Amino acid sequence: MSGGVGTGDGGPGGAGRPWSRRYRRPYTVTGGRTHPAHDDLELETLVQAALGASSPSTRLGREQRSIAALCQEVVSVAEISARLDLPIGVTRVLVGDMALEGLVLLYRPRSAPARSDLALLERVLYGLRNIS
Amino acid sequence: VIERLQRGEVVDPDEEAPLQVGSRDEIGQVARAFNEVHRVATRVATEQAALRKSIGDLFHNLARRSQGLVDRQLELIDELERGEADPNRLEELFRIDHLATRMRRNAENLVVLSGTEQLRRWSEPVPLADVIEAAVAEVEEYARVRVTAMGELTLSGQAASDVAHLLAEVVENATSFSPPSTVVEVVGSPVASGYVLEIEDRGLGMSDAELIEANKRLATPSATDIAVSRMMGFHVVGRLAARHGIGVQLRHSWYGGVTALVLLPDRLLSQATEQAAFAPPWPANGAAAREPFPLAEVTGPALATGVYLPLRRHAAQPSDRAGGGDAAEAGEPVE
Repeated sequence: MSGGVGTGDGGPGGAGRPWSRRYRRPYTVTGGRTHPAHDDLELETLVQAALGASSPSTRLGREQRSIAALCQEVVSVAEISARLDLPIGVTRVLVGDMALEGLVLLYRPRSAPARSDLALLERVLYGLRNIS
Repeated sequence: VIERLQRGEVVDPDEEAPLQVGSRDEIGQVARAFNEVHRVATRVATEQAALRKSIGDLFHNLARRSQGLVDRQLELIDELERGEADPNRLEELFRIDHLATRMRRNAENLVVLSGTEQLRRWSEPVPLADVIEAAVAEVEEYARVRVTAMGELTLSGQAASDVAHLLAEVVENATSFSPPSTVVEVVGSPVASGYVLEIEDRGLGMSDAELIEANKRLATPSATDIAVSRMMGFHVVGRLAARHGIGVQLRHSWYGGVTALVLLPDRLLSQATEQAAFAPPWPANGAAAREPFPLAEVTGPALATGVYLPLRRHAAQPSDRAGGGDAAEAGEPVE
């Protein structure tokens, strides 16, 4: 169960996709919801577990418990998505819910309003592609 | 002989003459005539068995093909969902995903009904929680299903798909026969011989007679025929349960609906080797605080047969509770 959705993919021998990757579907994680409760959850938004919220509520689902554990350190929404192998839209809903409940704190980039930095993101993407 | 043929065994009609005829008098003639009738009946049954087998093979091949296609479709949907940042488009993708997932379940159920062989098997054990989540994903009204944390058990990879489809049928039955405003709860608890999942709905329930009938159908999966297609759900459950020695029983729920008990036997289960670092303790207000599980009833002598007949709870559950027209409707299994 550690590693969230990626649970079953430890087997290097499997030619096809591991069972859990195949049969677990992301829409069940949020009950079909795709709209985050928080507006400004961008890929680069940083998330950290709130102090005193270290004992996760029993109402949390498996993924949210995994998120709570990951967020003992500061991580970005994009990183949570990647580590838990969840679609970015699902991660945003989960983190948004947790932020509303005060379980995690969000740090948004203080600079320009969100979405105006498309050019910057493109430059970053370009740079990343050049590295690989 | 006919039963053996229906089970798919090979029978030589000439070797199966029931009466040894020695005399030439009237009794001998009657015996010979009887043997002739028997031979004809056996031949007809043999032909029918061959026909059934070829229809089964046809099922199987068609279902296999659509299963493969839907699998590929789901892989593509996975990729699209992964990168989708727009909530509205993601919502649409989820709908497509859900439909494709249910199509795969149908295709794989058809493979089960064709009776030929098992679904593709995985060797790695699968977390039980994943299997239950997969089952919920295959249900039309998945958003109404509430699963209480399942602990760290894993299920044999060989049985994972079958158990998921079995549970999907049971949960689907629970959601179809309870009001849309109610939840269906899935709770698990360890018992002496394995792990029991309770699937409880808050519908109108079934009468005692309907429960007995339904449990009988679950216990004796018959050969596939037209009648089966109308109650495919129960039939699939019965087949899959028999294949893995899983116990399935329907009972009255104290909430007024039906509780389905699914007993996963020990040999399908193992403890997860890697302990999740951040798994919370078992929720104190979850399974533990519920109505205590009637352990003695489950570990009784009926255990070996795999499927138990319902235990009626007259005291707490008046049998006329589910009476009337609604009961008849609730008695119909899914699909």
